[in-house]
Amino acid sequence: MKKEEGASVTIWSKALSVRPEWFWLIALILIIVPMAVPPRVPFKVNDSTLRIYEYVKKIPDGSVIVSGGLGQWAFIYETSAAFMAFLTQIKNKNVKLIIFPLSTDSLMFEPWAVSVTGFDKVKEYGKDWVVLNYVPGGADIILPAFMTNIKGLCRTDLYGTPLEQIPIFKNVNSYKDITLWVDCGANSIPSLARYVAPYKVPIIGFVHSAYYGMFQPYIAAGQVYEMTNGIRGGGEYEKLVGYTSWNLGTITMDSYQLYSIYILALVIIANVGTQMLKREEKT
Amino acid sequence: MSVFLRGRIADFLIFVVLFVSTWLATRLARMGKGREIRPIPALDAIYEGIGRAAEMGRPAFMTPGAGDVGRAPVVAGLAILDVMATQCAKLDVPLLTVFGQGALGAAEMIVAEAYRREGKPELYSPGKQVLFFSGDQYARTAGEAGLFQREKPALNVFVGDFYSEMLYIGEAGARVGAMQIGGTIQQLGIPLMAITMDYLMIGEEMFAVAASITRDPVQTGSIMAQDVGKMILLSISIIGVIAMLLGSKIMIDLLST
Amino acid sequence: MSKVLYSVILPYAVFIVCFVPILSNYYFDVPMLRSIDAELRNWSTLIGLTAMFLGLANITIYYYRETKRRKHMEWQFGVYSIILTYAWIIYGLSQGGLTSSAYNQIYVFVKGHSEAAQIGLLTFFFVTAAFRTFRAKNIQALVLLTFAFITFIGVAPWGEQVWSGWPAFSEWILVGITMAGSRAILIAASVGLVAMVVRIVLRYEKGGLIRG
Repeated sequence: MKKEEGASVTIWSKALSVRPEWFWLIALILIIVPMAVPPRVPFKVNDSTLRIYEYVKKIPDGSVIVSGGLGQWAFIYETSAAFMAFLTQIKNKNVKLIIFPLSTDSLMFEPWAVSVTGFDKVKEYGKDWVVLNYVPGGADIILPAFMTNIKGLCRTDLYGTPLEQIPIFKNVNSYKDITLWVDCGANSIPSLARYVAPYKVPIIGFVHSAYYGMFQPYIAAGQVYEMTNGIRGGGEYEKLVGYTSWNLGTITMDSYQLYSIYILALVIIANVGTQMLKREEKT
Repeated sequence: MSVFLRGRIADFLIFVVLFVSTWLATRLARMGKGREIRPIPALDAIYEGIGRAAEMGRPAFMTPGAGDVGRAPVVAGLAILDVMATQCAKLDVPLLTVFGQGALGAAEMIVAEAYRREGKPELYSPGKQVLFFSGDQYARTAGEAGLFQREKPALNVFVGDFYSEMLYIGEAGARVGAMQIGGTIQQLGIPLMAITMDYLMIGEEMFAVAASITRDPVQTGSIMAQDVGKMILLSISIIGVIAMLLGSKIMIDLLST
Repeated sequence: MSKVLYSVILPYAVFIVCFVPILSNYYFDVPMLRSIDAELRNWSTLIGLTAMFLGLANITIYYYRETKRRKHMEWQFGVYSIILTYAWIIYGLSQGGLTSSAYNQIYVFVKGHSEAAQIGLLTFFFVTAAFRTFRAKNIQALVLLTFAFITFIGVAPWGEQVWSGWPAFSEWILVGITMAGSRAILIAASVGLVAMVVRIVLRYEKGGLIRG
């Protein structure tokens, strides 16, 4: 808001011209303090997260789950909360996990997530879980090939062992052997809906809040089973599995509690201030 | 036995209809029977912004995001770059652009050609107007934010593929007092542009702006054909909704053949 | 003639030879199309690999040119970038790539965390955006503000303390209203994509290798 020369400086004009750095400092304090002193604010579990939890709970023994998503590492932090909760849930189930990274960052992230949750401590590599090598070309190229012939596309795992020598792949070679596909990436749902859903493989997505509303058409069309809603969904999933070693969702909910009140207060001040300044200018 | 894959017949028919309507619309546009594209405020704002930059003695900035030259939003961005480069050359406004590695060559050609057309080829220098920071989304964004702080452009135009970085560069541009114009088809970028831009082009408004700038019959015909396609799909949706309300799944069955 | 052959006819022929089988395989159940499609996708993977090397050559040439000219205001960062690129490649190859835990650690703690820090900045930029932009100047701004806050508070834990139905209402906005808008944008984008395909197939669109 511009001030005319000679106009009096009122409290509202001062409030509306505060330097942004002060707002940022207050935001920083409101985010960090709950991390140091976590209040563990209560929040309800959404139906979508509950559906995912119940679905994963009922997966039969011996099922093969593929974890394949694409995205940059930093974006994956938001979805990591739900993904780690998922790994914690299946840690004690008799299922097999195939990590099929669709991007170079997913290739780094998913094995790291496995080690953070302790999944690799209770499961045997090669027999219960495996990390496949990254195949360049983009999801549009590699997903159709993966669904029809896994061993044809990926000759070895990440460590160079031929798939024929890995016990998981004794009876797994195509979409017919996959029970569930989980996506922990940032923006993989459209590709998965296009190339995985036609084979009637159920897809569960751990997506960003920004994409949660955007990807609802895929759930309505039956291409995706369900999705978690960003970091809140991660927090809800963590609550359902009895918390994880990562706990990012729960920690963030504590910070978000104060941050959201702060934003609301700023918007109210900005709107009231604008109206008050308009009145002052009229008089 | 059907030669079609299950569930793809309706898909194929819709594709054929869209294909034929695009071809017909382009033919009509080439014969001079194209429709006029309605005025879009963002295009006038670009000219206004460059005038503002000339008055303030500050540069104008443009970027299409990180997309490759084969992406439609980047092609629309290049059309707008042509307009901006021409106007900037005319009014002696310094032009700064940031492109990804895919469209860098095309951008340099367009800017050089614009300066040459205006009779000021000496003002163009490779690496001066067209900059490359990084192929990485946020590395590029950090570079652009730093550029805004140093150069303080009076006009920022963002037309192309933008995602979450829009909030970052939108705010960085607002902090230096730039007039900001944005356009993207990415659903993640649109709301962020809505809160940081002064003028916004949502979805195909970008392509419409590019078509109205170039007056290229191919682009105009394409816009017409897209309107026809949307009408067809909208009609199918409405008929489907009415049918479902009446308890009939006929549209779902037809579309699933 | 040879210029037209190499810059116009040949690239277009390659495009049509690849485009027609892949598109046809999507619609038609023909075994021969399936095998051609699979073969072409294998070739795409190889092209993707080659593109990585081309990209590396491209940025090396770009930074070399900028360093030699020294006109770019930050040409020193170009030198730094290119040294770091090759150092990282050599280090990765010597350590056994992704099977090396040291390599993974450096990647996570340098690239991963610095990227996360940059994205974390959005939290603070949103504060100033909220203060600057979320003002009810007109009806559209008021509607934007209202819906933004319903969904914003719907995710916050205190929202459900204020009113227990708030998360469900916020979810309904995301699943109902936002989905309708998303569908509209998806349909429009798909139609635009088909139009672009037509333009390329009928040689109305000129770009990349296809000239003239």
